[in-house]
Amino acid sequence: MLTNLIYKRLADKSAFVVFDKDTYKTLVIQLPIAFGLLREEHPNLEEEAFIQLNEEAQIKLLSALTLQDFIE
Amino acid sequence: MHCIDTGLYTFFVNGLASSDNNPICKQLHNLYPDSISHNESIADYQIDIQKTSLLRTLLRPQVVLQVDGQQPFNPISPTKLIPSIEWCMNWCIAAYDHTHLLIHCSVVEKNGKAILFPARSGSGKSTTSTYLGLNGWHLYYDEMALINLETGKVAPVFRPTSLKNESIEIIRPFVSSDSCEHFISEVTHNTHKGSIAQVRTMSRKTFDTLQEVDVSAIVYLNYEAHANLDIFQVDQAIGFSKLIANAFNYSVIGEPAFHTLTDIVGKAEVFEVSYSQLDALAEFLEELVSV
Repeated sequence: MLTNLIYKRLADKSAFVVFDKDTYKTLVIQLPIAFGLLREEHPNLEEEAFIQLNEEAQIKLLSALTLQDFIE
Repeated sequence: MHCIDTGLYTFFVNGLASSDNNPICKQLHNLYPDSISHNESIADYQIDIQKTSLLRTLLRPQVVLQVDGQQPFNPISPTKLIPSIEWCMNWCIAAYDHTHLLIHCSVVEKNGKAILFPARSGSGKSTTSTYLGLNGWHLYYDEMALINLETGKVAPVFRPTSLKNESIEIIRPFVSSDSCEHFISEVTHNTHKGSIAQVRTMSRKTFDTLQEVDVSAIVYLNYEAHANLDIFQVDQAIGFSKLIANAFNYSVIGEPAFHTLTDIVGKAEVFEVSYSQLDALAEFLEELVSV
């Protein structure tokens, strides 16, 4: 996990928000988009299985991606 | 010198003649009852009203408002001082207060629960929040949500609302002339925003009972003439994105602002509402803060 990024999942589970401590840039990554990005790295990941994961596990998967992955 | 105590902030206003028959002073005292003194020595912000030139003193007089030597607004006619002082006070808060997260929106409260109306100009947020403030709600601030970064709660401030153009006559019937709670100022015409009037929706005594409260809903208003009440609950991702866009000092405060915003959005319901009737809208809002 990049230490300059903070990840949080919104309470209604609609999105993850990512904050860059260096630039203060903030990204809102809606759940389907987050899952789409993860599928590129983990082709066997099922959407239902991802949704069932807790926040910590979801963020652990997401944090393997770079901020550039999200922006692109 | 006038020292205006708005609860969270105090403002020195220098350059107003304090005579009893100065109409600007009279209006200020009616907008800020029990909140103006003349012998304070410390204030958060200082607004100086200065004449522009000797020639302008004689011919079409103008004044400028300065804040700590800066001049955020163009020179104005002295007849437009009341709205200009109000805008200048808003500017002071928006430009200098980085101890709170500031979100551009109106804030109303009932039953210890706040609703935010973040919106673009013309969406009806001031009209709606003033209407509510005159009908059983507490109007915390018409211009910004002042979010305590430690508690995530929204703070009240003793400020009148500014109504523009058609909104003035829509709201005027609800201002009780025999109540010490309400006051509507004279209308200032031909400002850069059109005609402006200020409305006070509560007395100082009522204001002093208010406390910081949690945000229970974020409602994006969209006034459309003759529209039925249409309510759409949207997900928190949309609420979060829009709140960041409306936050004045998010990029100044940084990480604490991020945590505060995610906490606020996490506890709140988010709606987009199209409406034309204030009473129908108020009925829906009542449901959001019911105990």
